[in-house]
Amino acid sequence: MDIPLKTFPITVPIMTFNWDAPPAGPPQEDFTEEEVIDDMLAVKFSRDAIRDVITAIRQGRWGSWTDFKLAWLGHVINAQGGQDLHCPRNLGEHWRKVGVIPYPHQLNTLKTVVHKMHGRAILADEVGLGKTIEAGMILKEYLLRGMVRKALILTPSSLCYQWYSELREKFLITPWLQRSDKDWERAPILIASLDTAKRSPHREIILSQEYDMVIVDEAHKLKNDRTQNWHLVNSIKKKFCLLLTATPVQNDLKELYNLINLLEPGLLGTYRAFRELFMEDRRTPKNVEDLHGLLQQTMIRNRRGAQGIHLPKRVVNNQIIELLPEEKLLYDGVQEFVQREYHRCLASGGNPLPLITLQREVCSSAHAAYYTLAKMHESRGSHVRPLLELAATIDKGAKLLVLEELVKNLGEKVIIFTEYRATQEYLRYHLERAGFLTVGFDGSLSPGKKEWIRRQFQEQADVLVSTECGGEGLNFQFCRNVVNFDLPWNPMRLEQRIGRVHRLGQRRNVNIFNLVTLNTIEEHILYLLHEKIGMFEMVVGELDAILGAADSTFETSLAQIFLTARDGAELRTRLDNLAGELMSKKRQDPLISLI
Amino acid sequence: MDANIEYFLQQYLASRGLGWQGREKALEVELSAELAEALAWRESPRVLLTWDLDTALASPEALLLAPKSQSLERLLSTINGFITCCHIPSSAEGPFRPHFLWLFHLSYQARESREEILPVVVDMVDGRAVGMLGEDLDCHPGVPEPREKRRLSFRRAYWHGCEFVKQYLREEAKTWAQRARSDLERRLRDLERHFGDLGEDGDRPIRLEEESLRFSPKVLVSLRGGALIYWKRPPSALAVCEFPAQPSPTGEAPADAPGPFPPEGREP
Repeated sequence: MDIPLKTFPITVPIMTFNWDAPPAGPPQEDFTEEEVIDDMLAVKFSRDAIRDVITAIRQGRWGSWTDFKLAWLGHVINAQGGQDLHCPRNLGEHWRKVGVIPYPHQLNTLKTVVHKMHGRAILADEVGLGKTIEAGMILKEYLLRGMVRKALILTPSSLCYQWYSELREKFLITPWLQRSDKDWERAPILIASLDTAKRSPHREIILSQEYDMVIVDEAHKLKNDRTQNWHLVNSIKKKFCLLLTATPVQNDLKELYNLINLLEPGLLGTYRAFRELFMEDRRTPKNVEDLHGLLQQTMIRNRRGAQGIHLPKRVVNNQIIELLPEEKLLYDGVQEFVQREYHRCLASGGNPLPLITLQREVCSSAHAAYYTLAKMHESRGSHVRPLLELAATIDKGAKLLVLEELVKNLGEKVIIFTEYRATQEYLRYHLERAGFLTVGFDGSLSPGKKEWIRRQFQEQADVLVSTECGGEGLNFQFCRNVVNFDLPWNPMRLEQRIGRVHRLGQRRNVNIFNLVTLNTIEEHILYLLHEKIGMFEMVVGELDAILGAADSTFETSLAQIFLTARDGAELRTRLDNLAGELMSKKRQDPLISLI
Repeated sequence: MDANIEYFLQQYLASRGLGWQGREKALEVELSAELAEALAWRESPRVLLTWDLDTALASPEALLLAPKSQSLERLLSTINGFITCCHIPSSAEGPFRPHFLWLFHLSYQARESREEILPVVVDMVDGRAVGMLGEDLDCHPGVPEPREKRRLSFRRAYWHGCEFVKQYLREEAKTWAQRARSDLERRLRDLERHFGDLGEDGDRPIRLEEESLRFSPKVLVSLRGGALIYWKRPPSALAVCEFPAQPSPTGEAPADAPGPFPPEGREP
């Protein structure tokens, strides 16, 4: 091919940080085996205690009776706090230093899980309300009480490092990150990916252990009892267990039944009994009050707006941008090409996905479209060539010019989201040339690198340019500006982007800048998401529920509308219908009201 | 021992020659450099020592010294109060007898959890143990004369102390343990019924074991200190509770006593 391939080489600056190691927690005391007294209760004596006394005597560390009495009094006072929660008092001082605010709903969750649920619970708070913090508090509480000595935390691999640093920095817990087969047995507190854990030989080793506590993040991955995930967690021998998910039920009440069965088997009876008692059909519960009562015994769901949980405002700023003439030419050419090919593709039973991708890429940047066009040029031949040549000539698009100005005017850290790696490269290249220090974040990075980049951004860089995968689950509350350089077609992904900064711990209003090109699909997407669904003002749980209620996937519906609408008027009507359908499903869906 | 944190802090500060001013749920103190370092306090030396979590979180010049706080544990570590040797003066005839006062920390774990400090005095000659001293002890420093030679090693005395703790738990924690047991049995019955309804054994053994681990009443016993006290009056006269404990004929700990132990030292 004689059309030159564009590259945007980025030189990543070398940055250095001070990684402050948190102080180590107290060493765990060594106890004797249990001795059962009168078949009633078990007693364990400290092995370290007498050794310490005799060592002190040998070393002649005798103190005065006055000090002994004072220490005695102090120990009595300390023991009197045994009935209260230990964690907030133990960490209160540290939290103030590191800027952690224990919110009332989090403290209530800790209290309820420890005192009422006895260490087994589904933490189902809406996104951004601090489920990880709650789980960290509960783990710390049991560690301080000496009731947990061995714990396993299973998360998606992308979140392992985040758990690691949160536990270290906020809870002074020093966990291990699973790296070898031996870690399962050796580590007192281990963080591992659920995908690794379910594979042999890891699975077998895990099942041969006994855990005092198992925590599963993103626990909606356990909602199907026929999956390896569910079977693994069900088979692990565990005393306490926390399941973290913002969506404990999406499509079927059985999902909720399966999660609860992992924690409290028998609470909801057999599935047959549950179905008879509580299910009208798979999405419609009956005897809702009774079911609620049972759910409250093991599930906690905190919501925004309730119980004084208020987040800063989202300030939405839509920037409608006119394409440059050459960009407009490219856009129109691609749209015409995609619509033509789409019908041909459907008629011949081909795969329309590359066409849909191209249609979306051209809204992001000419550079992103260029790569797909280059591939199509090889497979489909010369009729793609004019579009490819045109894409190759476009250097800085209209959106980029607006973006540079925006970043300069903000004068603060900014996260820019794009769906495409090609756009990410293009943005970083031009922003670096404009004098901004940038870091890139994407799904291909190892968990360790992600954490490294997150810290680079926090401490030194001006701009983080992230793709979708990179955004999921990670927290950037230290930044309050989000730029959507392109708009994803799935509103959940848009919500996840915003959720990285608009969450507990964010103290300032969050600015959301949507860069949208005039007279393109993006304008219609914005119309649908902003004006019709009102997603920027919506509570996150609601959005989950709306999309869960949709029969087919939202993105598929959108693609069909965009590629088959004959004109702008038909497009608007069909988008209105789609929004109306979703909103009415939300109003009618009984599952939404259940949780 | 009747205790409140404010009183304890005042006693502590007085013992260190530090003054204070009372504030709401706090004492305002000018920390010595030594104490500031021990408490890992790097701000201004003037500090509010508070036992209220909200005050501590709200005020940057406050230091949380509540039960279970790290700062209280740090403060306790500045007191050389782990072991001591003293005597209780008496004009009565005869030699002083050595006793060892153990401060046991009991952590009760079940559906309801709590903690307590249990003082247990073991006679180092005949091995008798008594607990729950009901009177403030008026101890004086130093080893008195004449005194009896101790026949029990420290580890043996510890073993007697542990035996006393077990006996104490049998008597005093009975109601708590019974309640926890019956709660556990109810949960196990519910689980058995559930697996019966399922008509398959499935994970029954694992689930039953997990439930037992989770709800069985358990007490973790550790030590917070010890005092070698020479006494003429038998401590049982001060004891709130007393249980029989067999003296050791050899003065050594039995094989099942908690250990292992380093070689013993000598008292001053």
